[in-house]
Order: sequence, then C-alpha cells, then structure tokens
Amino acid sequence: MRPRAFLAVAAAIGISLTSAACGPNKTASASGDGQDWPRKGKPISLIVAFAPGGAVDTAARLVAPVLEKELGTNVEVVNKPGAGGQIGYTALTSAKPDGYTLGATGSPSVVVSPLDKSRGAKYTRESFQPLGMQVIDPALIGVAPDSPYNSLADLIDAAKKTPNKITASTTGIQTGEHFAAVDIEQKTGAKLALVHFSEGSSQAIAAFLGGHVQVYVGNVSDATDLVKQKKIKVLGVMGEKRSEFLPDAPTLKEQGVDVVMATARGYSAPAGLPAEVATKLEGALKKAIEDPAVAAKMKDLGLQTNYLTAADYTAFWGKQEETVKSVLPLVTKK
Amino acid sequence: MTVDVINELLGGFATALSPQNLLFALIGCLLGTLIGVLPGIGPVAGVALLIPLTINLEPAGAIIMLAAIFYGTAYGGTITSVLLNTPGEAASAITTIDGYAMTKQGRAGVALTIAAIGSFVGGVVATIGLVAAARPLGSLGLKIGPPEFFGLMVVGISLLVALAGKSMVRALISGVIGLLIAMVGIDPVAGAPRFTFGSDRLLDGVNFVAVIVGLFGLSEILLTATAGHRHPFTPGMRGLLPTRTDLRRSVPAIARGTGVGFALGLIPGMTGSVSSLLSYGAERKFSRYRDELGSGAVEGVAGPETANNAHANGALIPLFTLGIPASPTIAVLMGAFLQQGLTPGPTLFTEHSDVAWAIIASLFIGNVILLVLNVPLVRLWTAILRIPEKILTALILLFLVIGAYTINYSVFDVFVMILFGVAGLAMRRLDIPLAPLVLTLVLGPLMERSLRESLDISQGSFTIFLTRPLTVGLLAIGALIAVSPLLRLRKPAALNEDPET
Amino acid sequence: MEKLIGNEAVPKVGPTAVRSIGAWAAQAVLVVIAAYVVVSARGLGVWLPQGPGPGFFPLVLAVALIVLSVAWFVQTRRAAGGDPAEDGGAFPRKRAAVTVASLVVLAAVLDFVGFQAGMLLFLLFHLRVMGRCRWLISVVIAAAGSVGGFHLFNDFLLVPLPYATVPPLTWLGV
Repeated sequence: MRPRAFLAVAAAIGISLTSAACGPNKTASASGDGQDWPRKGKPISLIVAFAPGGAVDTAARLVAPVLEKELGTNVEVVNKPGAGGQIGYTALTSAKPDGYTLGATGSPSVVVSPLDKSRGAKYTRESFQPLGMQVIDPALIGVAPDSPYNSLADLIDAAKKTPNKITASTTGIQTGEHFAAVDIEQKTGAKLALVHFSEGSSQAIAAFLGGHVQVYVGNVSDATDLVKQKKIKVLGVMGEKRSEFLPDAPTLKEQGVDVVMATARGYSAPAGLPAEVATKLEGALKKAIEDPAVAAKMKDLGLQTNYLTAADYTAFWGKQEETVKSVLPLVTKK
Repeated sequence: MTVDVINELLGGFATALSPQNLLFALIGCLLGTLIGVLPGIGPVAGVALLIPLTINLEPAGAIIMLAAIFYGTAYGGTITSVLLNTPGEAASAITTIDGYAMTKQGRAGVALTIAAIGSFVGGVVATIGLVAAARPLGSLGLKIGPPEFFGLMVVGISLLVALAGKSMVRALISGVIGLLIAMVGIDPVAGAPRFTFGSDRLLDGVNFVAVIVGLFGLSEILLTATAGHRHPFTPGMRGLLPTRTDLRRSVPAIARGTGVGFALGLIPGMTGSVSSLLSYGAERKFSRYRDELGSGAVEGVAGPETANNAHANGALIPLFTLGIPASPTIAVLMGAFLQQGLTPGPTLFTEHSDVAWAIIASLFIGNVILLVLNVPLVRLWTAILRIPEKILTALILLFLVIGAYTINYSVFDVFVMILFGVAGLAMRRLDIPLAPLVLTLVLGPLMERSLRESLDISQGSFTIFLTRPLTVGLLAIGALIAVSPLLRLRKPAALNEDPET
Repeated sequence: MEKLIGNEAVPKVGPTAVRSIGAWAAQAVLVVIAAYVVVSARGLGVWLPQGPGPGFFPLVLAVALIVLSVAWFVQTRRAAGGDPAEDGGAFPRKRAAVTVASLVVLAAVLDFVGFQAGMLLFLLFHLRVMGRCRWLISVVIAAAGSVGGFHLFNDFLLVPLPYATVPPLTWLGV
C-alpha cells in the first residue's frame, strides 16, 4: 500500500478508536455466574417488543429507572417492534440467559404467538422465564348509552335469538377480545357478529362511537375515558374481581358467565437464568413495580398495578395458555 | 365561535407566548424538521423517541414541543424530497416527482418556498377549523365507518387512472405491482401470513418507507451516477423566490390541498400519505396545468405539501374532541399526553382547559415559526446542492442506509431498500411510472382492510355498500373518475395509436 | 401533435433494441411472478362464506398482471421506433452494479462489524474508489459520517445503530 494511503487508513482507524473509547462500552456478553452479577458498567437491555410510545413501552420506561437504582447498573430500553410482538420475543428468547437481557412480556400476544403454527414462532412458553407481573388490564363489554340492552343478560338473550346479527368490535383476529367473545359464545351460546379492527383499539372505538358497531369489546384502560364522557354503558368486566376504575360495573362471573380475559403485562428473561441472578432480578422488579410513583403513573394510564411473583406469574401464564388453547381451534378454523 | 371560546383562546395565547413555551415550540420545530430530513426516521419514531426527553417538563411545554416536532417533520421531509429525490418521510414521497424536477430546472428554492407557504396555509386553516368547529367536525369524522372508508379508497385508487400519463398499460402495471406488494403480510381476513416465506420480518408486510426510500432515493443515485454529472443549483436569490406566476398558480392547488388534507385528517385511520397522494391525484384531475405535472409543475409541490400539513393539524381534531388518534403518529402523541397525566378528549377541556388552549394556541404559533424558520433557511438547504457530486452521493448513500435501518432497527429493511432501488431503476428505464405504485401501496392495505371490516359488519353481504348513502356517493365518484379517460380522451388516443410513432 | 415533432433523437438500433430486450425481460419476470402468485393464492383460499378469502385479491391481481404484461408486450412490439430515451442513451451500468453490490455487502456485514467500521469502509470505498476524491477529504468525510454519524444517532438522538459483534472489533467497543 502506498505510504500516504497507509497513513490515511491508520488515521481513520485511529480516529474511530479514540471516539469509540469515549463512547459507551458495550462488549458482547460473557457468561457470568450469579455472584458478581450485575457487573457495574455492564448495561442490561430491556427489550420491548412494541413500538415506542405505546402502553407496554411506557410501562417499561417507568420501571427502568427504578431497576437501575436497585441493580446499580444501566438499564436500557430497546424497542424491537413488529409482527405483534413476535420479533421482540424472538430476540428475547434467543439472548443468553445471563441476566443482561430482559424483556417486557404481554399476553395474550406472548401466549398466542407460539401456539399458532402458521406464524412460525421460534419460541414456546418454556423459552421464557417469567420474573414478575406488573399490571392486569381486564377486558370489558359495553354498548352505546342509548342501546336497548341494559344488562349482559339482555345482550346474551338478544344474541341467542338473532345469532350473527349484533355487531361487536375486536382489535383483530386472535386478540384478547376475539378470544373473549368466542369464549362467551362457547359458554352461553350467544353468537355475536365480530368485526375485527386490525389497526387497533382507536379504530374500534371510532367505529363504536360512530354507531357502526353495536357492542364494544375492549380493555378497561381504553374504556375509562369513554365512561367518563358517558359515551358507553358497561355491561360487564372480565376480571376475577371488579376493576378499581369501574367499581360500578359487575364482572361477568358475578352475572353467571364464567369468562375471564385480561391483558397482563410483566417482565421475563430467557429461560435458564442462574438462581442467584433470578432472585436478584425478581426482587428488583418487585421494588420497581410496587414503587408508588410508578404505580401512580400507571394508574393515570388506567392500568391497575397488580404485582405477581415469578411463581404466580408463571402459573397465571399457564392458565391463560389453557384458555387460549381451548378457544384457539374455534378462532382459527374459518 | 362564541365569546367564551375566543377568551379561552386568548388565554391560551398568553400561556403559549411565554418565553419558555416559545422556546419549546422553536426547539420542537427545529427537531421536527431535522427528523423529517433524515430519511427513515419518520414522525412516528421521531415523536416517540423524544417523549422520554419531555417527561420532566411540565405538561403544556412538553406537549407544545412534541406537537411542534410532529408537524415540523411534515416540512422536513419535503426538503430531501425536493433536493435529493429522497423522501424524508412517507407523506413526502409524492412531492419528489415535481419537486425534484423543479430542482433539476434550477428552481429548488422556489419549490421549497412554495411548500413552506402551502404548509403554513394548510396548517393555519386546519387549526382555525379546530378552534371554530371542533366538536361538529369531530362527530362528522365518526360518520365515516368502514363502508364509507372503502368508498374513499375506491376514489383514491381510481385517481390512479389520472396518474397514468403516457401509457395506461404501464401505469396499471405499476399500480398492480404496488397492490401485490401490499398483499405481503398478515391478511386481514383469516389472520394468516401471506407470502411471507416464513420470515418474521415480513409478517408486518414490506415496509413502506423502505420501499420509497429505495424506489426514489436509491434509484436516483443508481441512474445518475456518472462522473461529472452535476446537479444544477439555484443561481442566487432569483432562483430562490417564487415568481408571481408561481404564486398565482399555486393558489388553487393550495386551496384544494387544504380541503383534501383537512377533510381526510378528520377520519380516523387515514395517514398523511393518503392526503398527499390524493391531493396529487386531484391536481392531476382538476388543475389547469395538469399536463405539466411530472416535469416540474409548481402545483405538484403546492398541493401535496399543503394537504400534508392540513392533515397533520386536522388530525388533531379527533384527538382533542374524541380522544381518538387518527393515525399512528397521533397515537404516539396521545401516548405523550397520557404520560403527562392528560387524557386527550373532551375531558381535557373540562379538566385541564388552560393546558388545552395553550396547546391549541401554540399550534398557530408553531405554524408561524415553521414558516419564518424555513423560508430564510431555504438558502441554506439549497446550498446542500453545491456539495461536489461524488461526496454528495456518498453522503446520500449514508443517509439511505441509516434511514432504512432505523425504521425497525434491522438490516432487513436495508435489503428491502436495495431491492426497490434496483426495481426503481428498472422501472424508470422502462418508462413505468412510479406514482401509481406508491398510490396503491398506501391505499391497497387500507382498502382491503375496510372491505373486510365492512363485510364483517354485514356478515358477508355486499349490499352494505349500496344501502348507505355516503358510500354509494363515494363509489359513484370513484367509478366516474375511473372511466373518465375513456370518455374524454377518445381523440388523442386515436392519435397515440398512429403507427408512424 | 407533439409526439411526432418532439425533440426525441432519431431512433438508433443499438439502444432501442437493448431497451426492447429490457422490456421483454421485465415482462417475462412479471409473468413468472404473477404465475407464482396465482398458484399460492389458490392455496390460501379464494372464497370464504363471509366474502373474499385471503387469496382472492392476490389471484385477481396476478391475473391482471399477466394480462397487462401481455398488453405491454404487444405495445413494445408495435412501437419498434422506440420511445424517446430518457437520458439520451446508456446509463452507467457498471457503476450502478458496483454501488448495489457495495450496499449489499454493507448490509450483510452491518450486524457483525458494527455500524462504525462498516460505514467507514463503505464511505472510504465510495469516496476514494468511486469518486476519486483525495485521501484527506475521503478520510475526513468517511470518519465524520461513520463515527460522527454513529454518535449523533446513538447518543444524541437515542436511535440505536448496530454495534460490532465479532471479537476483534468488540474489544474496541465499536
């Protein structure tokens, strides 16, 4: 190589080296044992499988600073959106289980994606190690304020008399609302005409407010503002107990329909964490989730903080998978 | 407008004009323009990324800054579209056609200035609409259900015919290719993956921004990469300012653009790209100088850019009146509201009315700031063209790669961009117009989705499209537009068939 | 009638024949793609009780594409005189191919060598080899673009760009 060229290349490399040395040091993760975890200066990635600004992302960004304090090292939120969470979950489960990669996991997306074969997900429930659950957002069912149905029983009766006539919104095929509606149909015989708004809850709400669909099936956090504006009559909430945001709305269970469907959001690691690392992480997460400031902000978003330990979260996840498995054939068979 | 409203608006101005909030608006406009300029990082990512920065500010200031970023990006995307034929964001894609043609004629400054003026007019009118008639307009937007949405999409796609230009066959090929690309992903019918070849990445479909960055930006580089080929740059102030003719011709385009953008902004589910595309189609159909479109007609810049900004500001109406985000970008903005403890919607006006009106006032201010910032800066932007060709090419490639990568933080989109760069090159060499592809790529998915939703409502019966007056009207308009060339261009078609040519 | 008295060049045989071949190749490619779509669309299910199935639109579009490609073929056969060349002849094919190849290589290695190293080499290549710029300018711009750009996006704008993942480079923290 000619001398000038050589000098130039050396200079270029030199420049890169010096600036890189000033930048954050992100070396590839080496496997660590639990004793000296986390190493100071080595950041932890918190993978959020959804777009920035959404509910999952917001929750993660609220929790991250507290985690940083508890663990003594940087926690960086990394967004890997796409394919309804599948991209981010794949990234999480294929990372090394050394405690330096965590992920925000939300159901039903994390439950459904491995079960539907056609989506080709490269992970299963066993690929995750749940660490703690943060919020539960139960589903609910409501109608317009001037609708003729005043209770869930009215709606179910009407739906049984005229199957596939009463339109109800969901936020897409194989979403929580879809499963809930099909579950209701399984247990009561009430068949609603489901309209899937795959762009999300805002589309569903717009259609509902515009009178294009008669029944709104969605989450409590989406509906609390509608309730304040008196634009919806809530017929029932699909939680184990009443929602603290809608104390006047009876649960479906109270009304004799045994359907429970909720969006649950928590945090997990790739399966196979060393025991000490897991314990430390679980403890730190518990502190972060139950932190009063964090819980208050979540409440502002309409989300009920409902901490579950890793063991309970795992059990909850398993139960959700059972429900989904039982309903899935009805949902995919068309 | 009642006296109360005016009072509250004035109160809002008082807050919005505080030095601190003015500064936030200014920073927001600057950041927004910068984000818009960088290809790939569109308004969604831009607003979302900057939300953490604003968490610690007080609500009014934070929202003012984020809203300014939001419509700042609408303008920033225009800059690279016009100067480098590389759309900075999705909604600016169609501006590349006439904008870049104007640059090649040495009129880049004119294009940018007209775009700034049009954006200002569109934004201000939309904001006046927000103040004057928010509630009725909000309810109006709700009347558009899935069948009406489908009707609008039909109208939009029928404008493809208007974009045809020389060869209808090739324009249709372009449109069909766009529709086929739009089919990749999870279909709205059965929720099953379609043409994804087992790839996770393709489950979301082929990313629109990656496609247009490649189709316009990369293909331009591949096409003109000759040593010694120079971009003409603006020769002094003369070339920077629009002439009186330019201004006169822009007026109808700006008017139409405002109408299209504002109306579509009210409809939940519409994105800014739809507005700018339909505005371009409208110019094709209704402008006196429609034959010049494609070779540097000022209408081709004035219309879409105005529509884009009118849409961005108009889309805030459903957010403020109903709490419904009309597009993904607004959804992110709504997330910002929620993080600050504000719930957008009518309750915002009852519970935090001072904040709400301060934000609205700052919308006016922000539009003014954008205009004031950007018109003098046109000189600075056009100076980019003076960078020697070879260096500029390398830098553009740098931006293209960063842009494509940062869409989803994946090299997959970079490959998509490269693929469409090559495709764009082929299409341009073969005289296949690019605009129809862009049109169908944007409208196709929306059309299929609304068709599916409509059929879900009617449980499979197509009569739903015939029993709703608004839908019938829109479908009729669409059909009219689609067959209009057959009716009008009978004579020239015969001439085109002349065997001598 | 502008078409006849326009300012297009007198059609030469060379470029026009090449253009026709290009058009035929494109038509062939489109037909092949359309045929593939037809086959897979039918597998997806064309009609369901509630209306068009997932394969309906792809099928319709693919058929339309075949019809249009044939129509285009007929058109290009007739217009043997050639359409007016856009840029007056051949475009720099070799340069375009090299540019595309360099982009493909860059994208392929980006996740391995990281943004800074990859882009540095890429820019150096384009500035020095393709653009024949002087060494100093090339190095400065390449460094600014790769490393400077990296820090601008990563640290300032909080937009993550890829770090290196192979051992020699990870020691440098790039």
